Formats: sequence, structure tokens, C-alpha cells
Amino acid sequence: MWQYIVRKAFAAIPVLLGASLLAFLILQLAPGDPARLVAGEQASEDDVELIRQRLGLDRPLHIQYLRFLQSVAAGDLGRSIRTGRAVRDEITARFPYTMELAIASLLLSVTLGVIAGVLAAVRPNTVYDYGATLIALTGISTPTFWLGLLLMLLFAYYLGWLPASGRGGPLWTVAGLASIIMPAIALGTPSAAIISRLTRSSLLEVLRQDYVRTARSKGLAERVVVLHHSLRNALIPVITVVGLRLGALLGGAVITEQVFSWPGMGTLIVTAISSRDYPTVQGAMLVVATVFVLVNLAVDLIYAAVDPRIRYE
Amino acid sequence: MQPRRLATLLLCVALVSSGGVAMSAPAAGQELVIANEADLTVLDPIRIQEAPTSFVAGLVYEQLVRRTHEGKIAPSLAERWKISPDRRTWTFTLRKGVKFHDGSEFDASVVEWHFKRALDPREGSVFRGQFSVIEKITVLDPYTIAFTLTAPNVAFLDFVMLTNGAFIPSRRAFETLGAEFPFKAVGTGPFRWGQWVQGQRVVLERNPAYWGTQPKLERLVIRPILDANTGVVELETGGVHYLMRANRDDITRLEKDPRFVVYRVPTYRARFIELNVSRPPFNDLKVRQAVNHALNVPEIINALASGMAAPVDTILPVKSPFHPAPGTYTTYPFNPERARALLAEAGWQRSAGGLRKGDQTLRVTLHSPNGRYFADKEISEVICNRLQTLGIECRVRVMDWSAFLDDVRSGRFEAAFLGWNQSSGEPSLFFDALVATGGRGNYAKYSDPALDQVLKEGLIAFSEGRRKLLYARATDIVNRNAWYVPLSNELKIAITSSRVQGYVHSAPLTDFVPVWMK
Repeated sequence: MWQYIVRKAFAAIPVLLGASLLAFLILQLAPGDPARLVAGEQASEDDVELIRQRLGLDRPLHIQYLRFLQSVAAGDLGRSIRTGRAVRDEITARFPYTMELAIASLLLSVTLGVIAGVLAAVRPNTVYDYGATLIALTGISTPTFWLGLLLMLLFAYYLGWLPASGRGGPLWTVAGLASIIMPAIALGTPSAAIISRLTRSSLLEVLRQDYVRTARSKGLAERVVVLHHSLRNALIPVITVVGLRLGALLGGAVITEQVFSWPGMGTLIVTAISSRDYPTVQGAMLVVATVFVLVNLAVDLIYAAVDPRIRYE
Repeated sequence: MQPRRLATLLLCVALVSSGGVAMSAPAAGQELVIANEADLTVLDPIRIQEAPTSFVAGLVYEQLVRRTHEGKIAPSLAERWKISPDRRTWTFTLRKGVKFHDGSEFDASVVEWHFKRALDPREGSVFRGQFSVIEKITVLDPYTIAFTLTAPNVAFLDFVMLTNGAFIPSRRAFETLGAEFPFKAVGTGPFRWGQWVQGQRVVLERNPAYWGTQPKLERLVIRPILDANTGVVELETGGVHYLMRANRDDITRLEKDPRFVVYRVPTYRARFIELNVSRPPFNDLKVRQAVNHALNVPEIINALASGMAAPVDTILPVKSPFHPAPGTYTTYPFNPERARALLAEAGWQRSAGGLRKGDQTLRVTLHSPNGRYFADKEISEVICNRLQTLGIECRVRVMDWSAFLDDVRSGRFEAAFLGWNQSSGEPSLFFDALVATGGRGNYAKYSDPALDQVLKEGLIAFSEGRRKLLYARATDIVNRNAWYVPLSNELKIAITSSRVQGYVHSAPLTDFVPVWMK
């Protein structure tokens, strides 16, 4: 098992290098000069040049990238061009909030998605199935920002039950919990929809297997057949998708965070991209890529734990 | 009986009067929650350039002088000042007994340290270029400091002393906070730094040792709310009390709601189309004049930005005290026939494929940012559409701000939707930057020796009357050359809860000292 983990961890290194290089190149290829943006609209050419030198942007591209890698190896993500703050500090201040939002959304989407998927699968072509399909389609098609505004109107404006935006505090406080509900729903709805569709189709397939027929013929209760014998196997592909969705939730949080003024990485990344703050974007991309790689590693391990065939291979 | 009656009467009077006081005066512990457009970046004055950070900095730091609601320059950390007869030396007498929020003394040595730091190329000051008009700083005594300029400049206060870079921070804070200095504002202002939770809120507390009038509010809470719709919902649900932006429809709706008060006032934010005279087709005066005549600017602005911007016909904001009277400068009233005639005079003939001169077709690309200025993209699209009716092949190139800035600053544009914001209507802040030869915002490389001479005189003329004359002439020269299509002046907007009392809305100043909550 350990050998498996170490092998997977080493395989992650080229992925992270590739991700950082991609982030670096995309930013460099995008038009726009960070030195000009830092200098401001009213700065003279001399000032812009001075700032460019100070930021090290006058050096050749490969030198800039190698210096970045060198710093990363030493645990330093550099300094933000925009604020001058250590990128590590910028990310540390915001990453936990994005993670808590992503995890809350994931919990919500897995719970709702699996329940809706199971209901639809055990009663195919009934009103439950059609209802779940309709809700799932709506969930996938609704833009996050629009859903966010609708939730805000309903729960904050008309009902006055929840705060409109912002993070109310730690999640173990009532204010904190109340503040994460709407962003978690807005962010998690498309994932819940995808998980419900996948659970439905996967469970329907499992329910047609011979061993399920055997279980039923033994006289087991339908609840036991579905939840104990079928769902476990049906959830194997769902686990992969859940892992991938966490990555999508980290990315999707950008819009949700803007709408709900959630103080996470999304807002940081958007501002950093528009101000061509290379070190912050690179640092943030590296952190997100690392999380993504770790989640995939975790998914592989869970997969191996759930399905013995993978271990034997 | 008599004394008892008197006592009862006195008690009643006392109760009523105390009740009256309680009704009109603010209760203790009051806080005002303000929605800011973004989180703060850096609070080191010499690096502040974004409006959201500048807004907060202006509540904590102070400058030697300040603007009043009427736009006049008034004493602040300097009690008075004088200009030498050669107009090159400005001597400030500083206020005594002023302390920074960390308890350190405010005196001439701090002012000297701050401005020398702003001029030091190693410090990363974004004001170095602008402040390079300062040749020498001399401390005459602990409360008197003189600035000698490289050339006479009667607009020195506007040009230097009223910028973000002129906010005076505590030197002790700089020396003790080290790397944390840019993230904590320690000034002398009516509010002192409380707390900054990144992405969530900034808390400013009342400064009990403030030298001026004490703020009525105990605390200001400034929340970054990036989405305009979210800001409106927050205002309506009581999450914030003061909002600086909203969509046009929301503003119209809130205006009718007695729970809110909407304030608007024209500001010194000029919006215009800059025509690049350095390359065809706008190197031809007649084409520039034709474009000016072809556009019904008031109609376009009123249709797309009414209530958010006011149409204008000069690059100098109409609120400037130096704005010339209508009729005293060249303008281009909407006249498509005249536009067509001018294009024909310039040699552009109508044909099936548009306007042609020999084998050339009259093509224009209009660079536009998206969301940087109010309705910038939409206004650009309508402008292009109008130019097409004239036969000009016009295309809008909507760009991300940094890419847009790159193209415009390098002169890679034919026409561009641009803006120029200043905190006052001092005309040299507009003309010297936008149209003087080599000006900071003169991206199209306009150059007219006669205009340069007028602008030079404008900087040394003491008399307001003389300056008015000079800038009226400058306005006319710019318009006669049709270098720009002036569009609008954006309005400064504030929407407050009707509980917010004592607030005065004006272009030059945002002051929360007299504000309290009902």
C-alpha cells in the first residue's frame, strides 16, 4: 500500500510542474504589463521601467520561471506584485475559507445527489424519477451567480432568515453556519445534479446484476438489497466523480465567492489575474493544483480500499 | 404648594429636554457599515492608487491641506501656507500638538521624511514622477517646512499636496512595524486603525485624541462587497448602511423607497473618446471634426447612462471653477450633414463599399474597456454604430483592462474610450496630463506649441481671472483641434439608509465626522 502511495506521490511532481509552467506561460502570453498596472494610469514611462526592474520583470522569461521554481523549492511563493505581501500569507489567509466552502458544498451535493439518485433508480420511470431528472437538469443548467442571487432574494430579502453575504464567523457558531448555507447551496447544486444522475444510472445497472437477483431470491428486504448490496458497488464510479467535483468546486468558488463576498481564494485569483499579479496567480494555481492532485490520490486510495480488484491489479 | 409645583415643572422640563437630547444626539457605541467596492491592497500612502484603498486611507490619514465640500482648499495638518514671490517656494506652518494614532508627535521632520521617501526611487513610490516637481525640502523649524519647486507652479497643492501620496503616515509606525507597515494605517485622522480581516472587513475606531472635531460615530466597519447586486441586497436587509455603487435600475427603485436616500453629484471624472492624431485616419483634422459632428453625445449619454453620468463638450469637467462659459469655446453640435461634408472635403467619397479615398477604405477600430467606466462598452458600441451610418467602417475592440492599457499607452489605437479622474477641478491636472506635449496621459502624442505656452502660463498666473482666461483658451484650442470626442462626467453616487444622519454629499470630500445614526 505504501509503495502505491509513494509511486502516486512521485507521479504528482510532473503534474505540478506542468501546472505551474502552464499558469506561468498563460499569464505571460496574455497581453498586459503588470509594471504599468502597478505604476498606475498616471505614471511616466521612467516610473514604469523602474517598477519593472524592481519586480524582476525585465529578466528573460526562463530566468523568471526558474527563479520562481527555486523559491517554491525553498517554500517561498514570492511576493504579490499588487500588495507586496508574501503570497504564502495571502493564500494562507484565504485558502481555508475556500476549502470550507468547497467541503460544505461537497457534503451537501453528495447527500442530496445520492438520495435523489437512489430514489430515481429504485422507482424508475415514476414521478420520483422524472422529478429528480427535472431538478437535476435545472440544477446543471442554472448559472451559479443567478442561483446565488435568487437564494439571496428569497432567504435574505423576503424571508430574512439568512445574512445576504459575507462570512459570519467560524462554522461552529450560528452566524458562521448561517452565512455558509446559501453559498454552499449555490456552489453545490450543479454537483448534486451530476452526482444524482450518475448514482441513478450506476445503481440501475447494478440492480440488474445476477447477485442482486440472488439477494432478492434469498428473500432479503428491498432496503437491504439496495443499500447494503447494490449501493456500495454503484458508488464506485461516483467516488471518482466526487473527487473531480471537488476540483470543480474549488474552481467554481470564484463566482460564488464574488456574489456572496466570501473571503476565499476565488476573489484573490480574480483580482490577481486582472492586475497581472504573476506571483499570486502562480502561487494560487500551484496550491489549487496540489489540492487537486492530493484529492485524486485520495480517490485512488479510497477506490483501492472499496474495490479489491484495483489492489490486485 | 408653590415650591412643589415649581419642582414638578422643573422636573418635566428636565425630562423633556433630556428626551430631546436623546432624540437628536447619537447614542453611544454607534457604528456605520460601509460597502466598499473591493478589499484594500496597500496602505502605504506612496503606493496607494486604487479608489477602495484611497477611500479608507482618507479616513485615517490626513494631508497638510484638505478640500472643503465647496471645493476650496482649507488648512488641515498645516495651519497656513505662503508662496514666495518667484512662485517656486511654498512654506507651510504646521499645526502644533497633533499626535499620530501611535502617540508619536507630528512635526516638520515627519513631513520631510515622508516626502523624501516618496521621492526615493528605492521605495517603490507611484508618485515619484508627479512629485518630481519638488526640488528641495527644507525644515525651517520644528513646525515650519518649505518646498522649493523646480519651476513655478500655482497648482502645487492640487498637484502634490492633495494626492494619496501626500497622506502623512507615522514615522514611528514605519520604523517599528517593519514589513507590516503597508498593511496598517497609522495617521492623525479622525478615525484610527482597528482591525483588517482580509476579504471580510476593516474596522476603524473613533480617534479620541483627534485634534479637530470628534466623530459622532464610535466605529466604521468597511466591508468589501464586490458584486453591485449583493451590495443592494445588503443595504435593503440592513447589512450595510452606506453604498457607493449600484445598478441604474436599482438606484431608480431605491430613490422611491423612503427607507433610503440616494445622493448624486457630478465629479471630476472625465470620460471621452481619444482620437489618435499620430496615425490615420485621425491625423486628418476634418475626419476628427466629422466624427465629432456625427455623434449626438447628449442623446447617447442620456440613453445609456442617465443618472450615472452627465454629457459634456469639453475634457475639463464642468464642475471645475475654471470651466469656460458655454459659447466661449468651439463645439460640435450634432450635424450629420456637416459631418458628411467634412468627410467629402477630406477626400472620402461614398461608394458601394463605404467611404473610399483611392484604394483606401475609411476604417476605424474603437478600443474600449469593459466595465472600467460606466457603460463603457455599450457607449462604444453605439458610437461605432452611429459612425457606420456615416459610412465609416467602425469596429469596437473590447479588451481586458490591462491589455487595453498596454495598447493605449503604446499608441496602438485609432480611437479609445478613456477616462481621467482627479480629486479636484484644477485645470492643469487635466490639460497638462492629457494635451501638453509629453503629458502623462497624452497617449495620442498631441503637440501644439501654442497650447503648451498657454498651459505654462496657467501654472504661473496668480490671478484667478487670468487663469480662467488662459484655460478657456486652452479649452478652445483642444476643441478646435478636435483631438477628443468629450462624452461625460461620471457622477459620484451614495445610497444611504435613511437612519444615516448628518451626511453631506459632495464631489471633493467624503466626510463621516458629522455622521450619526438615527
